[in-house]
Amino acid sequence: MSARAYAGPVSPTDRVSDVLARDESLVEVFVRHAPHFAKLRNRAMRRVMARLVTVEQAARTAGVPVAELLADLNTALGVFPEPAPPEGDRPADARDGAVPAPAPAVEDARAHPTHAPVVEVDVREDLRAGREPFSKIMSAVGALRGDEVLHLRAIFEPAPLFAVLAKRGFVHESLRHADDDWSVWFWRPDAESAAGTVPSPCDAAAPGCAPAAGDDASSPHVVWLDVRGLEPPEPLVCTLAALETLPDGYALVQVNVRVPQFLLPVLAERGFSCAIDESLADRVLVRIWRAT
Amino acid sequence: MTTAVPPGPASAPVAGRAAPGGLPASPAVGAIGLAAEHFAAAMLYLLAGSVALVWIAPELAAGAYPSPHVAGVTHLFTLGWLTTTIFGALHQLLPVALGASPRSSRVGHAAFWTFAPGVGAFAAGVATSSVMLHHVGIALVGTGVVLAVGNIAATLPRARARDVTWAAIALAIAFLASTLVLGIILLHNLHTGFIAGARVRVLATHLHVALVGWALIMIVGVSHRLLPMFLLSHGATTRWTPRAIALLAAGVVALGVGLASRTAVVAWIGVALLEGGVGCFLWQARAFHRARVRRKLDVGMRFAGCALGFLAASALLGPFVLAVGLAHPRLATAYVAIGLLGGIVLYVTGFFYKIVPLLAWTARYRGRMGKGPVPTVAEMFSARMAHIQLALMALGVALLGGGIAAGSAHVVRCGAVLYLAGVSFFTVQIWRIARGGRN
Repeated sequence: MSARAYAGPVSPTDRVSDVLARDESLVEVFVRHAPHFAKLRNRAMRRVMARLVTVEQAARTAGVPVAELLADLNTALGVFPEPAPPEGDRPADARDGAVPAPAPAVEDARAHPTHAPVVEVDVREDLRAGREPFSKIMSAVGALRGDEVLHLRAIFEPAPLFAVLAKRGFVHESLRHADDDWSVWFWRPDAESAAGTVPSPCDAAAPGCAPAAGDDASSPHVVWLDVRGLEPPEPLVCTLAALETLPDGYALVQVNVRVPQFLLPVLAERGFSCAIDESLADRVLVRIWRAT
Repeated sequence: MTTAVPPGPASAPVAGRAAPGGLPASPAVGAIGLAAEHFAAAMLYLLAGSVALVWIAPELAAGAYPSPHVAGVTHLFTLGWLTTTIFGALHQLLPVALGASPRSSRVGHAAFWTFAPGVGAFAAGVATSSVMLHHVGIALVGTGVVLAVGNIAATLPRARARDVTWAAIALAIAFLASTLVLGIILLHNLHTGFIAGARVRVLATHLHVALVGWALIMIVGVSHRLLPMFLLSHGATTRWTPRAIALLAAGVVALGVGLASRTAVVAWIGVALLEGGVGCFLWQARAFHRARVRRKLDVGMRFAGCALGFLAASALLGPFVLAVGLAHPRLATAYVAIGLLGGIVLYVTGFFYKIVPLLAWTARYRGRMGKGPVPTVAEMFSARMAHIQLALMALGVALLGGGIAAGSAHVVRCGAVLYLAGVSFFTVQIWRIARGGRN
């Protein structure tokens, strides 16, 4: 958790685990808003769920207004945020605090493809036992064929997954069977896979381009962009698009499978510096920042 | 993972400088122009070769592979299309594959302006048996090859890693130099007849050193980098590429020695090694395909897949060609036609569809990237037209191979016309791409 979050009011992008680290009794604030959050009283559940979910995602999962939840959390902490200026007066990156907003999950009004082969992954028992389900889900995603649909069963709506899988080109549909029983289908939209073409770079139709902010709690001023699942020139375009909106004082770390040679001269042209870390076996990290 | 990144913006070096052991090299802006001039010339030679294919159809059907016309047209494909494309592509690929830019872009230009015109003169000289064109052509081609090989060879020591791609490029340029020497011997023989009855064996060695040693080994080495990039199949096993390269290189040498020394056992060992090398390459390509993230293949990768099929077909014919020898010249002609026109040319065409639009797109939209909407690379050309082209060329190769085997000039000519139609589509596509796409 960043020092900023400890010092100031809770923001929508703070992880639930970070909020609870400030005061465990805040669990009751969550529970007051939705019984759904009672699971957070269980330490094992908290260990798995709370660090995966931001306050905003938690509010959405529970179907409560994020502003109300934030106000109650900050009141319980005795922190009262300063009145915000009118929306239009603030820079886009400042609207949710200093950290850029995380990638919005791709909303898709369409139902999932019904005739496509379905791969079932049920993580309900894992979650109840406090086991981390992420690797299991990602393994299934990694093995998914282009025309297959992943049907995930979970005990809550896995909002954090939406952004993660959106980066890999998936859209989703959620269905609540009960408070602790959810179905979510993930699939690659037809337009992208059928055309076999590169989607428009860095817009809502290209979720793979969306940068994720603050993926690593130890690096609060770093925006991470994983381009490993993208075909050239998407990594180039997405990185440049992310740099266009990079807040001052932030660095962008591109996670790639190779050194992005075509990007390097463009960065120099646009006034960015970079450092390349090739020490990892399976990825290359390119840290990019505005040259002073 | 995150700790590997420096904790904050610090005095890190600026990217884009070639520095052994430091930051990798980046393709220079001018390198796109250098690649573009190579690609433009290569397209002209492909078109010329395809037109000439219709013209020499009767000779192909007769299996007259040693004829001057067939030899001249073959060089339009091997030198004009393949070698020119590879030279141009290396100016973009070396930084990606080896982390080192070609030693000198000036030498690269000089190599182009000697090699590219030289190919035309040489092919015309061979086809028309013109001594003057022979000499002018081989002088220019030889100079261009020496310059290009020297430029690439001077780049190799500066590579950041000496991996399998590095080894493939090193081997390939060595075989290219050998091809040139064998070519000069054959050319001199045209005027003096000094190798007499060994001509066909030297010709076979020249052909295999060129097509397998130079073109195929380069393709295998470069594909090792490009196939996972284009298929998004990172993490696939890669152990078959080094085996393929080792077997192909050993196979070419053994075949050449076997043919030159008239030692059948050695020649057969060479063929076995070549078959194994092709098999390993096909298996490697299969591994990349199976591990791909994006299941839908685009047209460039479909070209490559189709080409691999023809390559396999040609490889299957190889042992029969060696077994029957000169008794069945049509079989030998079909073997080369399928391997060259179907295997190697189609494979390079597929990569053309991946690389050229990307370079053109980068050059055109470099300043706008990330700042607003720009067309996608896929919008630079018509995928539908490319698929039609693939069908035409693939059917053309099938008819060419079948027609040659059957000795039917009509079928061969039909195949050549289809092939030409496909290449014409391709020319239109590349013209569109060069102009910035269809929109």
